[in-house]
Amino acid sequence: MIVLPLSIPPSAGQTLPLLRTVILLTIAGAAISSRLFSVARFESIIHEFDPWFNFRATKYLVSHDFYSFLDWFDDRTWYPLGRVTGGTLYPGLMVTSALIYHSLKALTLPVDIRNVCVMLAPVFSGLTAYVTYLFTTELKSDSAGLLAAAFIGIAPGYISRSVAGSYDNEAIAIFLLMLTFYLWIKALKLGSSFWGALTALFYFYMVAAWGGYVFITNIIPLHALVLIVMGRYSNRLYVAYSSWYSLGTLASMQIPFVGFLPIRSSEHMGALGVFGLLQLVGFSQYVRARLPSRQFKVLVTVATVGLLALGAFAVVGLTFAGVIAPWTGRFYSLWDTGYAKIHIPIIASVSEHQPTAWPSFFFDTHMLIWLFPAGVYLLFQQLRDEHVFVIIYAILGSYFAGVMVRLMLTLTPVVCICGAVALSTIFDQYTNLATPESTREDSQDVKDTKEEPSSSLLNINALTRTPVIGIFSPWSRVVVMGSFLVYLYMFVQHCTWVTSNAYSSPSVVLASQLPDGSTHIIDDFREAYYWLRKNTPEDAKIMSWWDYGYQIGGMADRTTLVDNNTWNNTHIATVGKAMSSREEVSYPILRKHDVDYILVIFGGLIGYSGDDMNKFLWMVRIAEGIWPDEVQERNFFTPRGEYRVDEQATPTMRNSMMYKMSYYRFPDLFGRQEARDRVRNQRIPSPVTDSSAAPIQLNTVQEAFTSENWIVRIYKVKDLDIFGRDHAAAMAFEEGKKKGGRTIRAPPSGGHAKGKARVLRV
Amino acid sequence: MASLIYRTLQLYLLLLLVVRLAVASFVPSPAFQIQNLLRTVDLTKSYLRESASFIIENISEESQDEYYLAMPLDIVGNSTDKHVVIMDVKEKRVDPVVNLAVEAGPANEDLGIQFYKVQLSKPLATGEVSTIQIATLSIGALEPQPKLIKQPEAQNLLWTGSKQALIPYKVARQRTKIKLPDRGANAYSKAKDDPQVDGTTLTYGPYLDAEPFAAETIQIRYEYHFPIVEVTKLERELWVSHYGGNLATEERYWMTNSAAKLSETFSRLRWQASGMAGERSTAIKGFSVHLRPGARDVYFTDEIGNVSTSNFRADIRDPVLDFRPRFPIFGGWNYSFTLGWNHDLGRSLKVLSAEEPGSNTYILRVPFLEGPENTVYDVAEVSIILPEGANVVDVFSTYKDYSKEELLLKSHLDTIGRTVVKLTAKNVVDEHRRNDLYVTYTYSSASSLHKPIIVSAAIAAVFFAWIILGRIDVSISK
Repeated sequence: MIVLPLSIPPSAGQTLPLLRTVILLTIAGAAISSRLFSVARFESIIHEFDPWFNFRATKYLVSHDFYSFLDWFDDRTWYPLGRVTGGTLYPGLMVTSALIYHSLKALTLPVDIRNVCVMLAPVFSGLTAYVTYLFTTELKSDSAGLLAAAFIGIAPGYISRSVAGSYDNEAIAIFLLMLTFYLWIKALKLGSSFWGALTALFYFYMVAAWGGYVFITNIIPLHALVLIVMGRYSNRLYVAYSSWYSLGTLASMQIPFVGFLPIRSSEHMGALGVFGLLQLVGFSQYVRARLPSRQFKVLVTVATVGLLALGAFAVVGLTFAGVIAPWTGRFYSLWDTGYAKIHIPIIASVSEHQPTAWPSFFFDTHMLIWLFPAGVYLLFQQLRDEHVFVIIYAILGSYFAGVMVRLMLTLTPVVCICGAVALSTIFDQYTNLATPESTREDSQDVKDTKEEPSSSLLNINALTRTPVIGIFSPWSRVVVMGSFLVYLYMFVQHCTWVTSNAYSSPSVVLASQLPDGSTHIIDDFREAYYWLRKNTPEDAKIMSWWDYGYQIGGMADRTTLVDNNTWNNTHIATVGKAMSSREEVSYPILRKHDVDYILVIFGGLIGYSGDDMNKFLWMVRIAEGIWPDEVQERNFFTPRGEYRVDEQATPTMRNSMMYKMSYYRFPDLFGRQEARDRVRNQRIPSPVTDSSAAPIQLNTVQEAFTSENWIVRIYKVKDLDIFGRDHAAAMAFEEGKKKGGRTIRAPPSGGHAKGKARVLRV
Repeated sequence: MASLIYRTLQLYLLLLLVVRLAVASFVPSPAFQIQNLLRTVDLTKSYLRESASFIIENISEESQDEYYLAMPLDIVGNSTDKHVVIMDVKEKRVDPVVNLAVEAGPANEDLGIQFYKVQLSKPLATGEVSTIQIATLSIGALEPQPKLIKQPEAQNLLWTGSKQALIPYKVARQRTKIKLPDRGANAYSKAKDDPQVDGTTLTYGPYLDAEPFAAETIQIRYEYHFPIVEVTKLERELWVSHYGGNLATEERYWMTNSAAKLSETFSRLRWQASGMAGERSTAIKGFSVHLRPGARDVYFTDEIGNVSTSNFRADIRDPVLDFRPRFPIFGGWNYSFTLGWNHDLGRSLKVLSAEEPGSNTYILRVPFLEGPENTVYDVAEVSIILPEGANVVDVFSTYKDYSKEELLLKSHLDTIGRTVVKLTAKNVVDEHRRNDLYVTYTYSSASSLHKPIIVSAAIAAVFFAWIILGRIDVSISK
């Protein structure tokens, strides 16, 4: 298709852009298609937890106008408190989808908003690849840019957050991050306020899209500061920074969730400080031109010390006075990885807030992780202003990625860029066919020397000549290029494998392997959520652990008590207490919160390990944080400190609502055989196999629905007894009556055979 | 002036009253006598099917060409709870059997009867005889009793009806045969040696020389341990695409189960046990939809995505869509879902004529319904979406009881909008699968070129604007 540029030299100027366009389009195509594994394997579905909220908010935005979206008070979450959703979200993602949706609608193309949301992340990853190309081109060359684009297109570290269906803020944020960075170095290079304003514009978009905008808010000032300290202050820097900061800050304050944070919170103070410093430096430059140098030095020393002290004093003072908000807990946990575990269990309970394990660096970036330092080293070689920026980004990115798993995402672009710089340098060296004239003689000499070791005089002669640096041996060329091509091939293999196996599961739908090798889809979550949606009153209140709040809101469309927004720790602790206490304690809590149904996740039948019994300790811990006298973590462990659910389980454990609701009638499923929990691999006490065990009895709630594989169990909270008895007494009375009548037939054994055959591939 | 109006009004009201009185007490003249009536009440489905076959004899002085049917007034209205549908009325005097036209006649509120006028194929002379066959369907005539059952318990249905057929003429001899599902009746109204029981069939009668409108109430309670599927709303869309040569069908269902409700909450344990034992249940576990041959690209979704429990068997001659809802639908539970598939347009579309060059008349033949069997639809909206620029000439169906609308819909880069024929029918049953729908329309080749021209022009305009704008120099620093 593409004519080689060498064959028709006159048109090379036109062919190269065409070739470049074709390569970039191919990269975008690869980036998009490698993110479609889950669509091909499952369906076009929103993944995991947070995306369900974003999806729900998008649907709200599409069906209402923009201002009512910003004013949205959601009374269907955090019952009975509600959530000021419009003011506590980053609207960028939803607005982007809504714009796409409305423009497609305007073209009368029939498109489902769900498909827009599902495909948003892959499409934006294609754009990210393009922006990374632009960015890297500014650093080095076109070819490095193309390599970087190819790397970011398929790097698992980025794919992990941008597969089709992963409809989260990060889906567009990485694109915006890279675009803002590109515009920033462009503005800095040109010293242009136009580019500075563009930087501010996309900075605003980034602020609207993701909380990670703080990263930009700090890295650009840091870059400016480092440049000043390096003595690289210039009018270009002054123009670029001032136009970005002033416009960007004003713009960012238009987002309701951000509001006055840019002038009141500690995270934003750095940018303000550097802005002030730049004015001073700019002023001092102006003064320097007009004063003798000795006077100037004194003035600068006094002014610098004085102003710095004043500024620091002002910031500290204002923080104590409460004008500037101190750093938030999530921010502290960035510096002290143990902080969250001690002070905020709710942050620590989220797996993506854990420190990164070393293998995941390789897992997410493969060979780039060792090209990355080489790239940074090469940038030090030239150290232009934009190289300084990338070096700062590399250092900060590496640190943050080490602290929190999810920040692997912000590291990946810089790893790709530096890797591309390193690799393209290697390629440039080894593919450079031009050989200096003298070299041929040299190599000839070397050859001769090898053949005739005796003629050492010639050899010395060759050494004393001025050396020509370069790789001219065809063998070393072939070996190095060949091995790097193999690495590249392995990189592609690895990326595809990781994407396909690790990052393409919707987690709403699970796949399991049947004995004959075919895949079986376990769709219990949607089964139960759809049941709630169709067969409960529209205003029913569902209590579940906060992990499932967004999914219930999105799929079941019912009111929840707590959700993944986790803004109110006490409310979550209340739910934790209701789950971890005895029925008599929980029931008043349930009544007070108008709970109609309780939803628990139970994986014991098929071995789904992410269930509520495994998360139970977090519920206990969070509840203990608020009611240390009533809920104690210690009571849930056996005297030997084990977490048991079998006959050795502590009475507190066995009487807790969560335990009862998880295992209610579970042993009955096994008939005469022993009931085994496949997640914790422990035997559940059953009256059939163990005469001392009593069947679990629930007095205040009754089973309303259990999904096919028992993953989701829904219980209905009973009304107050009509005769005013307590529920235990009423149940005992009913039982007595029932015993006189006919007994319920026990199910035949082997009722679990279907579940047994499945092995989870989660 | 005012008095004139007043008097006119008075006159008018009087006239209205007279007409109304005349209508309210209408009884057809006793022109016929019915001989040897055999009525069959079929209780094997989730709705009631009744058929009657009898011989009418003209006993009046002059020849007759109108016969009257009688139906209870309370079930002929538009209510979706209880409703009767006249499927067809046939006459067999000489071969072949002919379908007769039926139109609503007057109502007699004293008797509580709605009359329907049937136009006989040709006037019946005095003393002449003819055979009439009537088939009707009643929706909501069967009630679960008791209304609440335990999860594995059997469901009983109660039918309340009459021993005799409701006939506005004298009936010389009649019998009523009641067909029951395989487990027979567990309770029924009895007289001395009436009815005779033969396996799953009860026969009441024969009764001789009954007066017009004779009726004796009987009740039959029988085990019917199957779901009673009721589609509260169906939106069926058929997209005709001449470009793709494709007929796309999409059906959106809002379904409920009208069987007895659960007296306790649902227990998965019991459900799995009864499933293991292969017991029958009133819950809707799923159903198979036999699609027309050549169906492809089948999908089954609901509000939250693919219904992964369902399946499609792509047999060339008999493609079957096995729809299994995510959870069993017990009595009183609801479900909504969407089914869709594609067909080659060639199978359903014929060119009728090419009257003028560049414009063809086409005729499209599609089934009125294609959904599950043994199902009642409260409201069924069937929309046929024709290509942009098509003009509807005629819509014809063997099923007549619907209202028709023509709309415009903009989709897939339309500028004018495509013609939509929307038919709304109430109280339909799955047996209307047999009824075909014919839509005749004209579509010119100019219309088929309309969209490509518009789209290319739009793209060309964009590029042109791009070129123009790219040449404008907006820089301020020179």
